[in-house]
Amino acid sequence: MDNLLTNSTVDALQLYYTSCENGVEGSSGFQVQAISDGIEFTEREELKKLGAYEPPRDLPSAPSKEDIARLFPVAFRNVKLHSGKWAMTRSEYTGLDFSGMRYGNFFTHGLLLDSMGHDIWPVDIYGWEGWCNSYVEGQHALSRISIIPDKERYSLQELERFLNKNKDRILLIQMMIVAIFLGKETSRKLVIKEDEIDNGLLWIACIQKSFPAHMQDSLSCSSYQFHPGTCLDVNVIYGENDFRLDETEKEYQFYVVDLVDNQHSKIDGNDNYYAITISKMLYQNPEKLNAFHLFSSFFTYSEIGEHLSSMLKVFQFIEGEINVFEKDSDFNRILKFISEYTKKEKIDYILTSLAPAVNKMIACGNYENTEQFIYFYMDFFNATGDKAYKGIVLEQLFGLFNAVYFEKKYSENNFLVIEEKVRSNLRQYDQDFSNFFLLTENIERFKNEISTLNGEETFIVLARIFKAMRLFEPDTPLSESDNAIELILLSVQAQKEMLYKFPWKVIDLFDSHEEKVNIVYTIFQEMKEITENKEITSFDLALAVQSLADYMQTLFSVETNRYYDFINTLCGYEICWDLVYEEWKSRILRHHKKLYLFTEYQINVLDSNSDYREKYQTLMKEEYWKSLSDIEKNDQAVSWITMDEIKYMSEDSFFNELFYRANQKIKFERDGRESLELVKKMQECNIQNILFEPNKLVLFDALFGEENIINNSEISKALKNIDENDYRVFIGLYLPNAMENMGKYESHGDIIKALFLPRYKKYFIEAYCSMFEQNGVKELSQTESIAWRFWVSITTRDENYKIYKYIHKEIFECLGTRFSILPDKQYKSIKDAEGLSRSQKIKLNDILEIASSKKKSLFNSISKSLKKFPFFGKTTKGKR
Amino acid sequence: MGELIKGLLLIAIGLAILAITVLLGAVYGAGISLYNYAFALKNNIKPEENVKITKGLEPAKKNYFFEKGFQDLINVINNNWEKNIDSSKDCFSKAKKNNDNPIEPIMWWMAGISVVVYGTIFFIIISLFHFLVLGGFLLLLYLSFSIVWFIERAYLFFHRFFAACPYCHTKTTLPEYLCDNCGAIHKKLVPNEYGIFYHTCECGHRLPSTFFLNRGRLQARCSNCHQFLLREHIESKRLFIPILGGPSAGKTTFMFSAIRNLIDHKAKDLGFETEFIDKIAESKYNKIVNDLMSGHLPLKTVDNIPKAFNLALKKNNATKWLLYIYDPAGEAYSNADNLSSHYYSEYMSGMIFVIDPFTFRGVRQEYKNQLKINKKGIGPSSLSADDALTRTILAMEESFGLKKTGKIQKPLAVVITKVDALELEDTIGNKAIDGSVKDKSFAKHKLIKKQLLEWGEAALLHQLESRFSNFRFFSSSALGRIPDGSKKDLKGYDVLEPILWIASTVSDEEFRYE
Repeated sequence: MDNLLTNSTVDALQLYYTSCENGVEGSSGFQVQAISDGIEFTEREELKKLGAYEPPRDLPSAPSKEDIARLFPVAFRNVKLHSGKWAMTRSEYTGLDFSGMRYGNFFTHGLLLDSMGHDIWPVDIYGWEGWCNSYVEGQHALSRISIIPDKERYSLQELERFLNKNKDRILLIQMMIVAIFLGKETSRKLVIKEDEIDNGLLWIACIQKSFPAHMQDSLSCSSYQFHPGTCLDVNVIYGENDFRLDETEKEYQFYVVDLVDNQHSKIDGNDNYYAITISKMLYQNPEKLNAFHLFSSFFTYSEIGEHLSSMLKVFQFIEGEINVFEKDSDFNRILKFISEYTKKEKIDYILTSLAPAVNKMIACGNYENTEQFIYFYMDFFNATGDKAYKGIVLEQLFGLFNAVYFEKKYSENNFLVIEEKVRSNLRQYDQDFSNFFLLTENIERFKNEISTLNGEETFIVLARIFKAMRLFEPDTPLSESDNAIELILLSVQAQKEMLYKFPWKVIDLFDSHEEKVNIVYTIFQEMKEITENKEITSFDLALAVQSLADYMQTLFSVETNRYYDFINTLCGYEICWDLVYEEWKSRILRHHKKLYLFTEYQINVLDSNSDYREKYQTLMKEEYWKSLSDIEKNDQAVSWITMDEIKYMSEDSFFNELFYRANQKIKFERDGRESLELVKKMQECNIQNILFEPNKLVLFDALFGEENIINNSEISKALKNIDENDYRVFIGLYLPNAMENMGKYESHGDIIKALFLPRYKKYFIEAYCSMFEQNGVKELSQTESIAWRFWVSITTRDENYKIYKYIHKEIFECLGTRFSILPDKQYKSIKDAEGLSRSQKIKLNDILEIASSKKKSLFNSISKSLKKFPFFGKTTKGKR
Repeated sequence: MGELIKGLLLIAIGLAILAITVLLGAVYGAGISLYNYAFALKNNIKPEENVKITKGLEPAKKNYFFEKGFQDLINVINNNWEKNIDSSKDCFSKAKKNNDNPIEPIMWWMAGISVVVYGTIFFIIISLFHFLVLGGFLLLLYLSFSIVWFIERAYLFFHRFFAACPYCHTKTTLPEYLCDNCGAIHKKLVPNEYGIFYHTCECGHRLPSTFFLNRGRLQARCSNCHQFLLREHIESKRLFIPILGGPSAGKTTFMFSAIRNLIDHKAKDLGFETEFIDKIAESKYNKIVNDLMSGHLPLKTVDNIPKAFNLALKKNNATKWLLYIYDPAGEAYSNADNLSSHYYSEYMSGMIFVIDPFTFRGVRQEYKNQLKINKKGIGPSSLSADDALTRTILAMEESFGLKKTGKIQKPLAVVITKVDALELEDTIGNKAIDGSVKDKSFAKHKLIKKQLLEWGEAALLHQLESRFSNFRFFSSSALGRIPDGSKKDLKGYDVLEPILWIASTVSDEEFRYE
């Protein structure tokens, strides 16, 4: 920062105010003795008021000239008048007045300045050599003069020396600065009680120079004050005067820094930052304070108020003395301060000076305020259109990007939020931001540091870079970019320890299907290479392939056509076969319509007579088979058998399982084409050695076979392990036919024995009884006659007696029902049947009794039904 | 017939059930609306939580009934209305849900309607009542504090208590008071909407808001110049006496000689004890008296508007009167504008107009030769008495709104000083008065009046007679001798009479003037 301070001069009008016999006011006594033309009446009166002097009461009443020079303080005062001009006075006690009899006279040399000058403090004018302390009798006109301020007498170096004389002084000046700030809010003035008359001016100099020159407007000072009623902002008092400085005054009326009795007011501000920092500068580093004063001229802010600490912090931030702001509110205030108060011509300087500091701050890892800075610059860009600010925004964002992904010190979410806001505010943000990614040094940095990223971060960084590449060279495929390929390979290398976690979604960053294949090929080749180089194990590779295969599932989860194109292209590279096979395994495992998928894959990939098919088809079928559920396997078995696919299968166990599962799928339906075809295909196969339980082929044949000559024992075997449903259907169809077709009654028992399964007794009885319902109420059929004769003939000696006994009640019931609906003649013939043994007659009687009871109940139910009709009801009633 | 009766009976029972249901619903609804109001009252009436103190206004909490009470009422109304709407919605939703029992929905519908109807009625009635209660209290409080305020004002007026700033001389009925806990400035610490007897400062501290509750114990400050005031500057009977006159007329010397005389001698005669009410005044007095005692004149007065000198006149340790006396620099008379900012004219007890006899052309002519020799010692004023008086009258006209021909009612003591010089004592001093005369003061007045005419000051005399309804001439010597550089005591004489004469016009009983 260049030192812009200059040795400027200021013009001033003058006035002498003293007690004299002849002045410009026409009488003797205190009056203006001489005055420059141009001083207005009110300005004159204000200068007189400012220049009034009363000596400390404890000093001699009739002092000698030596006493005056030694003991009586000179009062320098400055104040900005309502007219906007500066009034400055130097008042010196002169003792006797013109009469030679009366003490209390003083001489005031007053100056009226149009302006102070941007680099001049009032105290610099205090040191001016041209101050007068006497007048020329009879001369009442004073000229306009040019003042050369004395900047050396109260230079910052001098003040540094003054403060360093006593270690307490730094705290005292700090307290005084705080009091100045507080005074602006509370109207309490600062009163410094001193006993050394030289120190007062130095304190005032310290206070004035704690604030920039252009802020002195609001800092009126009096280096000696007698009356509290005419106090200025800063007042030094000596000896006995009209200040009481009791507790009330100290607590409520003034901020008192009592350097004589060391009894100060309680001075405690809310924000002492400015006071602490500036007092330190005054004490230790005046050059820095000088730089701050110069810096302050870049702003229009000229009050002594809250924004001063913001100004100071901006200065310190640019100077690199602070690199973080503690509170957000504080920081916002600072940014607001810059926006509101920076001079137009300096805004560029401030912002461009600030930017490196912000970048440094980011580089140091302090990101707390970056967000606000970015928005801040963004707003400036939007307001001014100056691209430099946009550049700063992008640079800072890029810094944050690095902080998120490479330094891992900033929240990604925060970054994304900021970026989104910037994106919505800056046109062509993406294009501009991409610039940073394509800068050679950044690309090189990525290449060097990509090994520090984890999978997800790698993806984000690559995505950004690729997006940038695409924005700038939309016609060049990414896969043709050496940088892109190199970055991908470097990423693979970087992730080799945990390759299975590699962000495979980088593949999707490539647009076309060819590019994707190419990049997969490239990646896979690299993986193989590092495996061959033993940088990773085969197991690691397998894991990685598995993970890549898994990813490929998702890659084309929707666009299946593109998927097969992709796979077929990949199949063109033998090196990728493993991957394709793994992908298929992964896919088939996950797919819930495996059969469909397998078929589709068969059509799209394996149907072509490729080498890949030759190598992998059988393996794939087996893998596929393993992946199926029981139900799916059954369906697949039927499919393969009916489609004659089994001829490609050699393995016995697999072959047997297929038929076994196909057997399960046979259904006993007369018109079931599927089952018929399946049975046909199965019978064509060499399956004699396969033990089916139940053997549905035999049962199907028994039901629907052309010859129907299957003997009972075969059927009994075939029924082994038959399930409930199959048995119900089978027995329902087969038993009535079997009974119809038997020759003699002895066979009746054989059929029962062969077909009866105790666990399905209910279905057997249903099927058996259905035989009696086919002939209506007429005569008994031959089968029915055989049946009742069979059932009355059973004895304990029968081989299957246990079975008969187990079901005879239900059968008797069935027979009784049948007999009950026979015509009477037929019924009687059965009742009177001949050739029956006694025990057989007893059993017959049992059946007949059931029939009789059934008949009665039949009659009852009929008569009940008839009674519902009125005609029959009345008749019945009448008979009664 | 029997069936008809049966049917009618059934209809009657049905209607009765319906009526009971409706009644139940209505009662329930009414109960709910009452409950809602009670709930709203409980939640929103918070007198202890005061409203935010607006910056720039009085740093005190307003009485509940003046602001917060009405805010609470609005909150109660809003809250109650919201609750009623919620309750009715609740009833209606219950009515829709309960379909099994045909009675219950009717009851809930009725309850819902009832909450709206009764809620509105209760809301209007109770809000009105609430408003009236608040308004009643407000009126009561307004009346109360107005009465207390009026009594206080009457008391203060009767006792002539008001704040007169000794720095800027501004008169105010009420100064600003500082909270003795936090120092906050209370500009209206009187019975008002912030409290009748006490105001609660923003810091929570209770401050007495009336004279009767010892408000005077608080630190006061002038509302014009913000200088701190002592209690005596407000709550005491005062004798306001400005000492006027041109430069070098001897005003300061006269003032301190008179005070010295009062402290040393006359106060005792009058039955008073004297006391300085602040150390600064005492120090200043001591300094000047010491200077006089060692033969030095007091330092020249610099301020056009100097701080008043206060001396308490006590009886039985209680301040009976406070002497409020001050002398603006003679230079103030060089311009009438300077004088117009002297606010004392509003409340002064009387004025002392000090005239240097050596400003009279006749005197200067008469003692031409002696003056040449003793000019340094006598130090004649450069402003003529006539001019000084004219400027004073101009300032009065401005302050009082006095007509150009109107008379000033306040007593004016015209003091011809420096009678020790040359042979003036023999002309207008005590020596010139016949010792047998009873009313020597009046005799002196007549003598001086006559002498002024002889000295050719008819214009001055005319001005006094035409513009002042009560004035009296005095002669005195503030120093007792012509200062000659020797260290002999400069002790004045006949300096207290003008002050006593003015005081006697205020209180003849306590300030016997003979």
